[in-house]
Amino acid sequence: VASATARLVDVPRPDLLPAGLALSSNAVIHDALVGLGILAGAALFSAGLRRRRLAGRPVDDRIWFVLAGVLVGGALGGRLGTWLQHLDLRENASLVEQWFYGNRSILSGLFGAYVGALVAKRIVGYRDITGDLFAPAVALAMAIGRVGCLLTELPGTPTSLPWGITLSTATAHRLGAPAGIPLHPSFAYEIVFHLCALVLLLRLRERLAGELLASYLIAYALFRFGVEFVRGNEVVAAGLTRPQWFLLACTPLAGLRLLRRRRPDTAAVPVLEGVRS
Amino acid sequence: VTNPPPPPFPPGGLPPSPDRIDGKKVWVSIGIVLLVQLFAVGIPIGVAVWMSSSDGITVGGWLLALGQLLVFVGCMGFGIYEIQRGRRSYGLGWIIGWAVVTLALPVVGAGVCTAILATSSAG
Repeated sequence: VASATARLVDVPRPDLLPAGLALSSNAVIHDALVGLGILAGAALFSAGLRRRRLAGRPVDDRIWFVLAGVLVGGALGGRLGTWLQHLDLRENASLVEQWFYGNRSILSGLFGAYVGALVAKRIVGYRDITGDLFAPAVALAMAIGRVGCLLTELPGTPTSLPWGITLSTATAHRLGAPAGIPLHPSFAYEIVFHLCALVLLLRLRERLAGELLASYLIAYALFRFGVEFVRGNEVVAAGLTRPQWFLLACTPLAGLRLLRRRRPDTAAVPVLEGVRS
Repeated sequence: VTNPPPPPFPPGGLPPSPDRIDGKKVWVSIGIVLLVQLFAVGIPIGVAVWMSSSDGITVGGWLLALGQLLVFVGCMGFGIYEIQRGRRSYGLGWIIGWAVVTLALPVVGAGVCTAILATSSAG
């Protein structure tokens, strides 16, 4: 509890925040923007449902059970996903410690949400593809949530590019980063990616019906794998960070799922967006 | 011509028919979960402040952990029970409420902690 409290009152990066916000705590800024992202995503999800209802293609009521699975899986995955960081289990935090002040992870949150959706669909016997409704909402939530990361976390590795962020001495010391040296704004890269993805997802939702979420997740996985090289996360093995190893394990699964959907014998599975084009 | 008698009710009454998902009922359940969570967080913090020692922080921390576990099990268990009873809206609200409050409560909790620390340091 004491260390959690110490983390909570840590001051965010004043070089990126207005004076008023700089008085708030690091965790509040981060979690508030993540919460805002989830709210915006929920609004976009609801708009998608309304759009389909107005188009005469209402979605089955059981979509709400899938949403519950997504939220519960995302909450559990985001909070507990980074628990198993060391092969020697004694080096990992206890689950209680992890729950209250462990690192939050977007990747494990996404993974948990995906598994939660699959479990919920299996429980309620819902066979339609639901990812098309979730994909734009996830992209919007990620774009907003990453603003919280940009404002409060280590931005990236040193760069000579003109858009590098230079930290003050105090902030650099707190984040464990070099002071006075421009750093890659890796979270800004992600924000741009998710905003571009959002536009593309909305424009291509009819053409890529049934494959939107898988396509988005694979694209994000590839992008994130590259961004990790300038993120500044700890390298754990073979020059790769933990998120990169996680992505190496999960991305092929998503790719296989997408390929399986494209096979002619599985094309008969009904999709939410109507007839597959 | 007489109509045939209606079929007898099965023992234990008719099985519950699932209701349509009603947004208001879902929000009511989410509100209840929020209140439950505030109690589950507020009581340990209150205990820690009242004991005002390192023992208080330890006791408060364990109460907080126990409370969170109970809230999780309670929300999931009661939500599934309500869904099985045919009250799907309320059941969904309990499950969605746990997730939403879990994602949002750190913001509230951090504000409370900051306020407590600011108060104690000022005193």
